[in-house]
Amino acid sequence: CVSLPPLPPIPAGQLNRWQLQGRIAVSTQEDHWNAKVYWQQQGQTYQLRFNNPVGQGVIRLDGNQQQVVMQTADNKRFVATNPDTLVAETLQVNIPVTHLNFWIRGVPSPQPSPSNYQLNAAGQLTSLQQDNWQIEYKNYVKVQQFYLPQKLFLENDRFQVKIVITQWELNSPDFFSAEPKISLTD
Amino acid sequence: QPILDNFLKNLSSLHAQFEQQLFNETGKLIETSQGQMYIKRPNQFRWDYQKPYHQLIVADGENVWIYDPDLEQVTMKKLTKALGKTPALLLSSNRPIEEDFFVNPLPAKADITRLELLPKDAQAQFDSIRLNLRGETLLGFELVDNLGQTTLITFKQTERNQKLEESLFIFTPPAGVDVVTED
Repeated sequence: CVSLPPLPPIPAGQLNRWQLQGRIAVSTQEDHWNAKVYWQQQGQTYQLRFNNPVGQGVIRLDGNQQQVVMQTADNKRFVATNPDTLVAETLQVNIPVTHLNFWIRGVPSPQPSPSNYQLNAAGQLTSLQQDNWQIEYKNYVKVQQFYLPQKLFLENDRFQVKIVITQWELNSPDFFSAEPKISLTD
Repeated sequence: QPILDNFLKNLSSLHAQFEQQLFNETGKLIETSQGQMYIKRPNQFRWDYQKPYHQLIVADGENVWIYDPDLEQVTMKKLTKALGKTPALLLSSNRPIEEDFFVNPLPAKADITRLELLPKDAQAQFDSIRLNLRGETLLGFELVDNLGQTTLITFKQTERNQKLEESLFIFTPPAGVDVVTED
């Protein structure tokens, strides 16, 4: 087949300190799963939270290159080396976390090389085929000098994933920092 | 707990503006959302998030509908299985509080009555709910979940026992939106 021209570098690919807030819906024929998502990435270190629609914590992932720890609302704790297998095994939901770190920024994952892609006039990905996933980018928002996705749909032979991002934050100084706890009655 | 039982017994409906703040385990504010909430006892409520995005949660007495326009999706589930013991469910249900919670009074602050509700169900998906009342006015909730997050909900312009339109508690999925049933 015609070999695909290599994808030009996309600026958001160099981002290594970012944070997003959004919602995710994952569906298969039989199952559906909705959550609010909060993702904070700093180099290889990340924290990923899934809350239910009214805000109660359901799952939290804290990870880096070596390992990932998952805590669940029913007080279970799992440790693994890879978030993808951990999420798939514990939740029977296939969320390609490692790839998503790139896809969610509108950038292809390092490997395997994409089998297809389309760019719009502004050089942003409108669709991407990689590792048997089909990703459609619906719209982008400008954040500082970067264009980042606001809505993307992902599909493979079993899962349909919809992600909407309400807020992006880049290089914010207070990542992972601790502040005094605030309570209603203090 | 007479205070809470009386408050709920005398409550037929509630309407308020709400602000919801989510704090992570280090106390950092992660998200602030606002909207309007309506409750009609028993088992009907409308939780209409308006900012920073739209999300509508309607309990019609039998089912709970969650509509997310951006995701173009409606999720429907039985009221009994819905969302665990959320503040909305707590206020609209006519099950006696003691059936599901241990109720501990906390030291009052000025004229504010403070109550802490600890779930009796060991599998509960959250740690505790605190509730603040000034007389018959519900000021707000503080919900601590099992992942160290705290959700703070404060109510303003609260209207108690007003007549609320029946249509507020009926939800019809808009055309062209995925309707998903969670059993």
